[in-house]
Amino acid sequence: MWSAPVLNAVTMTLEAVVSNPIMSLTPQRTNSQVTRVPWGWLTLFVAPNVLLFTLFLIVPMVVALGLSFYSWDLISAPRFVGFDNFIAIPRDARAVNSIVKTAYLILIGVVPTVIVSFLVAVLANTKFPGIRIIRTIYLMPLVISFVASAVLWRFVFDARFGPINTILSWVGIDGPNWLQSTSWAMPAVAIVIVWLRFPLGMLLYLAALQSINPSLLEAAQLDGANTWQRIRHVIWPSVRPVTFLVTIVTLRGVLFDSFDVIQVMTGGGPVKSTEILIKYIFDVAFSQLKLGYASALATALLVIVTILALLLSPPRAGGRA
Amino acid sequence: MIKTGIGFAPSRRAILQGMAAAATLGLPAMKAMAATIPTSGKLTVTVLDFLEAPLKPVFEAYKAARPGVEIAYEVAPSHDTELIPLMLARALAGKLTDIVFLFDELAALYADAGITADLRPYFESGGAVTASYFAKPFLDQYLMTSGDKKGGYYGLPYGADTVVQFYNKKHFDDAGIPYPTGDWTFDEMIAVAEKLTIRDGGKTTRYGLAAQIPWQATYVPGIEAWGGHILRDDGTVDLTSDAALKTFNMYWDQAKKGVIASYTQSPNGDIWSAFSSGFASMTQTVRALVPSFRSSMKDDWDVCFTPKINGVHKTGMGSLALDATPSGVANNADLVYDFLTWYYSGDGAMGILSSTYAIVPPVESLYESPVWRNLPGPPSNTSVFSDSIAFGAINPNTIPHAVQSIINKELRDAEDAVVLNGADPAEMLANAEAAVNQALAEELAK
Repeated sequence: MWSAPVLNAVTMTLEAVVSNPIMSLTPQRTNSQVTRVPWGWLTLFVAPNVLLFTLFLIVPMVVALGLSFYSWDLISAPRFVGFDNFIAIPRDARAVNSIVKTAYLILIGVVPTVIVSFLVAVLANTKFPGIRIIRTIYLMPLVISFVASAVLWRFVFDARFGPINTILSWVGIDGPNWLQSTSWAMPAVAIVIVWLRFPLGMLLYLAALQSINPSLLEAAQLDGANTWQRIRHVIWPSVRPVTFLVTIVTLRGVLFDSFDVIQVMTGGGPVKSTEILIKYIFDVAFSQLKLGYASALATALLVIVTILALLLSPPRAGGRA
Repeated sequence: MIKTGIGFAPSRRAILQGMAAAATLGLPAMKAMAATIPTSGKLTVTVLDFLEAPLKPVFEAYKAARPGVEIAYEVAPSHDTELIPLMLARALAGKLTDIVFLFDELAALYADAGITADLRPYFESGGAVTASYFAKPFLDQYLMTSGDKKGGYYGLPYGADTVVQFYNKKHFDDAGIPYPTGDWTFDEMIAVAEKLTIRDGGKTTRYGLAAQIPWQATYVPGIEAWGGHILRDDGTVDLTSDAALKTFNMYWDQAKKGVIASYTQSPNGDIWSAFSSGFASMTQTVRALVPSFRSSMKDDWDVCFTPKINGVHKTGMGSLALDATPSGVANNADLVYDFLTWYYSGDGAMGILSSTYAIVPPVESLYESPVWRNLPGPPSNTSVFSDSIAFGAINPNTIPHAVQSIINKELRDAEDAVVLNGADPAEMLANAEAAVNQALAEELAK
């Protein structure tokens, strides 16, 4: 469990990162010009990351891209099929369904995560006794494994014995069969994903909030702005770069890390209602042993993520985003 | 077929009882054993995770019987999506152990991938264990009937598993219902299940029967009892026949009424736990689950035959297996063959595993053996396990694994659509069949 000092340290670090000139949207200039580049130190610090990044991300991506042009079942020799695997995607009803379900999960998972992260961060940014403990509690989902969380939430959503339906029954509501309903299963998964994802977003927002110049808020207050207007016109624009960061991080998490949650909670069901693309890719690769087609689907997923990232933050003139 | 995922730890007493009882088995003379007993060497084995506990004492017993021989085992995950890539990767890397354990569904895949070896040379090696030594239906699961492996045996049965009806005696007593004798029809069984079902408002709080409906050991015998077959003459999968529709409907209708719990209705999708926890009064499963039920159930319970369907007795049947790997045969044949022969001998695994309630020996001459029949209950009605072999139905091993995984997925979805959303069963089965046969065509086109 994270303690308050750890939280503070993380918060301060993030604050420093967000307020760092390197992270700023506008180029910073200093009076003193750097005349010597310490290549040795740079190499020492950067090389391990570059090496691992290349080994575990770049190489698999390149291999997957190559594999997507082959048909291979791990038994017989790979057979070159050109673009057949890509052409097959739109004709594959399960693939299309999984892309639609992925889009649905993004909609009901990413947007609420960003909003909840921001609102909780605003609340957590206020000062009152015990706030550090509350912040630590908010961060607890970060330190629980996804699988353990999913097992826990499966019980929480149990239609007969789960606490959610029990509480609903106290107020006369007959709760749905959350994980056995094609309508409710995905929202249930989204709730878990929001719960797992919002602490990181909150942490990033919290760091950004603490870097806002207090005089801006004081000026707004003097001008008669109420709380909502201060949030809407001062705070929200000030944390916009962090919103982009939270959105991208959450999007990546929803697209790739939701597999554990869905595998444990619903297995992609009922009736494929929670079968998102990453779950389908897993089934195609390791259950049906179609490594080539799974690689094509993974490549398609990469393209989707790239397009979404570009839509969220289109490249600007001068090459700075 | 028998993928229960249930592990158990046999007690030392049970093992000793088993070994003592094994002496009374009266097995055929083990010529090979008497001829050459190895005194050195190392044997490596890959076991499925849930088999580690029951096999540990087997390996210990082998080491005790072969001083100087070292045996090392490693554990592999039992879930297909982890197991298959692991084993295929090991085969590609030339890192297979000498012996592997496997599921019947994987027999053809493992054979094609060079993970398992053809055992005909072993049968012909002059030892006591030959093809005729085993109960034919269980060995035939591992007989390849097509392709370049045709005629070869790529596995030896781990046990003789048939699906029988397990019932909670306390639930029957509480409801004032006489225990089933096994001489009953499906409708009579459902009538009993209805009486055992408890509802609170509109929700079932205790199911009469927990049944794994989209499991081949459930639907294949049902389809055959209605006069159909899971495969057509042209090799395609038939889920739209009248027999298939009747089979699925008779289960799904009761699932919709809240009398039968299948995957979705069982807590965490665990049907067997639904029975052992008292959430369901009856279930249909195999002997491999007996150790788990014995250790976890508080109520008394017993077994009987599954009911007749359409006036015909049919039940699911199958077995896990073990086999030598090609590298094991090539590099370590003496030790591999010795282990297999010892394994199926009286003082080998048959006695030890039988004494722990885990298996019915897959050897016809042992069907009446006291080593497993005289174990104290529950279950008391042990003859059911061997007697039901006579009307067992086995899923065809010609269905490729990749296609079987599609069948499992599509039938599970069809069940959810019918039971949860009230979809038309005929339409759902037609959709499932189309997806399955498309996958089959793609598989055959490779």
